[in-house]
Amino acid sequence: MAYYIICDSNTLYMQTSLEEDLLETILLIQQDGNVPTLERILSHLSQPEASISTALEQCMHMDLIISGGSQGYHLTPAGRSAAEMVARKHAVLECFLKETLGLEAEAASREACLLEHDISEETIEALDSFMQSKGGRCRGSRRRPCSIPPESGPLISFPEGEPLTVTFVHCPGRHRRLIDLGVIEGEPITIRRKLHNEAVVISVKGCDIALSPEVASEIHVRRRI
Amino acid sequence: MTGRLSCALIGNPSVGKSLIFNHLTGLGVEVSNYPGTTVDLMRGNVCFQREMIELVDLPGIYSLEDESEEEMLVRGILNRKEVDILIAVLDATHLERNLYLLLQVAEYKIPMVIVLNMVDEAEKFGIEIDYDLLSEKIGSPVIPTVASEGKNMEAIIDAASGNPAIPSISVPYDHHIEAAARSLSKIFGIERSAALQALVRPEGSDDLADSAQELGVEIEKRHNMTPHQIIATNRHNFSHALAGEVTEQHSRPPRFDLDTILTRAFPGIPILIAMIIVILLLVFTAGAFFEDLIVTFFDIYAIEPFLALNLPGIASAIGLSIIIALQAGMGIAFPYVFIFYLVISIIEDSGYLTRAAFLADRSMHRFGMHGQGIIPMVLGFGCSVPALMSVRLLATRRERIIASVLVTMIPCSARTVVISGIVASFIGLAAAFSVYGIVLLLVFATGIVLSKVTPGQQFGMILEMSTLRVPRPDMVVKKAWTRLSEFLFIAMPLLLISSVFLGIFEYLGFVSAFQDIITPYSEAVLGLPGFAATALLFGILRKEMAFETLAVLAGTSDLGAVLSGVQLYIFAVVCVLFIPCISTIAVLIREIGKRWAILISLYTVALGIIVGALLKIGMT
Repeated sequence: MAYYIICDSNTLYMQTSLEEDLLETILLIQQDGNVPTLERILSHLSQPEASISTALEQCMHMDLIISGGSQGYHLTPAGRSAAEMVARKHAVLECFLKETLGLEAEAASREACLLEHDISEETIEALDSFMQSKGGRCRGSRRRPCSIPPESGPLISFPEGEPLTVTFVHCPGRHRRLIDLGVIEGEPITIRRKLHNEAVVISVKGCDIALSPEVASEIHVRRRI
Repeated sequence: MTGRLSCALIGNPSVGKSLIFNHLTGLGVEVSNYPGTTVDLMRGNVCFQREMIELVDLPGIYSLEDESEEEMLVRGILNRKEVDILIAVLDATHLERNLYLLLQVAEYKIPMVIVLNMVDEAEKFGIEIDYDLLSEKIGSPVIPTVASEGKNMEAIIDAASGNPAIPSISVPYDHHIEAAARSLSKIFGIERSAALQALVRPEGSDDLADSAQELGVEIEKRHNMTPHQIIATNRHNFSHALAGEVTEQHSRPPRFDLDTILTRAFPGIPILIAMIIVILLLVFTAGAFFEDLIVTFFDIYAIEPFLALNLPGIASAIGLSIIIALQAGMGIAFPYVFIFYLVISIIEDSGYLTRAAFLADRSMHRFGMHGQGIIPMVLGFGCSVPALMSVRLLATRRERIIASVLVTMIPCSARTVVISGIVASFIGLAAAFSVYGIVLLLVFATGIVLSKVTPGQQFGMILEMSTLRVPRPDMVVKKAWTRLSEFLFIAMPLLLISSVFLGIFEYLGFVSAFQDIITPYSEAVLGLPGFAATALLFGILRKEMAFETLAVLAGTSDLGAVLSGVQLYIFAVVCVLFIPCISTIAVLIREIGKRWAILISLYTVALGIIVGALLKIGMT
């Protein structure tokens, strides 16, 4: 197993890929709204229970995870940021493999699982901006959400005039009209006007479109770079 | 299908379809800068080289795959191949967005002519389009036009009658979608367009829908996107690429954007409020002036000479009621309805209406409506009839019903006449405003309750802002005229019939019999004498008539001498709330159906009586 180092400003952690996978798994289980119990963790990671227990203990020793008894395991703030970093690496890699290199979704995810432990943060950032400049986009996969980069948020949290890219639209079935007007993943848009009540006018494909607050809140975007 | 060539105009809302239709057919048709006003199909004939060509103006749509009435209508027509040739109208200033629909339409394999409209505006924006290249890519002739100036219109018919080709363009979809479409069309022996449609909307319970559903689930699993999303994304990307290939964007001089004023909370909202007040004042003063003229004209030149004829009883009664109905109809139609439509057409064609809708979105939410709901509400202060006709602009039936109820209750200018004629002149201005206050309070309360109880889902507003432009006077007048004739057509027959019946009833003595029956109730519940109840009944024809009849039946125009202040106040409140006038009921039936029209009428009657009774209890 390859070892590598995450450098925080003063502390030095050593984590194995299994430990990283473990952190990531707990994060995913929590994001799904479930309690990360030992059974759930075991079912997500196809590894012998003994090695997972060792990894769990190691993580608790490093103050990344705390055991909450019947509440399962919890990530400490440090553990959470480590887990998020891994998840992001996975997401970016998977996107790159799938969208730019054209791998099948499943294969891309499998490869990403391996590569995510060895790649540096700098490389990931470079890869991410490369893909955005290419207009590549993440569609996400069943196993892990890979489409929401950290700076993504609901449309109404961004100011007027900022160049934005649509990351996803909630309940697309209810808002077919949005899709017809061009509000689709990866579409560049800008907010032309935002009222205090969060009704917005967006500019899509050169047309101005007024949206009620409840519609605007279903559109997620990120800053265009 | 007849031997005649049949052509249909198809395109996004506000791209100039109706304008082109107008130019080609010369027939009066509504042209609108407000998305979605051409709900009815407009048909006309064009004579070209001694051949008659039928031209249909299809409603403006963004896509062919939604559930909206317009899209289903157009989809049906294309599926059944009811037209020989499609004339696809594209807005040259928004080519990419317009191509999205074109790509869908092209899948139906109907011969097509492409009209690239507003090329003059595109030029102003520094957009240069290679028409030949566009034509070559799509595989159909492309005709650049400027519909607002009637430029190059004849070329459209020229191209349409010259056997245009079936567009050869086709979107390369994601390979899973392509595979699914291929297998569906092979198994069921259907065209590619039908197979794609089934994938997007697997509806019904036949084998095709089942298979499409299954394939769709499979595809969704792989892509984490529905087939509709994938297909839409492919089309958008393809349009983007195509538009990029054929257009060249030159830098353009920065221009002042009026929207920096119009859509900001400040000064946008003060401007909106000022606009509403100006419209109301204009219609009140101008409307009242012309109504007075028309009513007096009828009095002098129709009613007086008619009475001078001294016809025998029943003939006189019927004749008189017909004249009164005409007087009521014309008295509403020309002054209020026509002036309102003129003003609204100007605002609509200028594109301001969409800005107003955006600004009003928040307040309309409280009543279970969206920004667009402001239009009928404002119109309602002038006349309920045009207000109700504009209710069809609202997207869902739920909104249409809520708006109809509220519009019916809003004091229209005729009811304002009652308030000012009775309350303001005999009791005082403050009292008159309090009547307004009571009614508006009830409107708000009803709106809030309705937004909670009306069935149906509430969707947010997704509204394209029309481009701001100076409206053309001839188009404005034409449109106002079309809508006015529509009003006359709906309301006049009912007005005539009900007036004749009332006349006959009066002649036969039913009215006085009714008065005898109603008197005890009216006195007990509302504290009003029987003749006041009869006057209320006449308010059904035209709201001001309640006021006029009251004066006639009281035998004096000094109402203060025969009725007490409280009685006058109650009369005015009940009259304002009470049943809508016949014209309103006629439009209600047409727009939202008999059931709701009856429900609304009953509700207002009950409300009028209850509020009147409460006032009587409270004030005496």
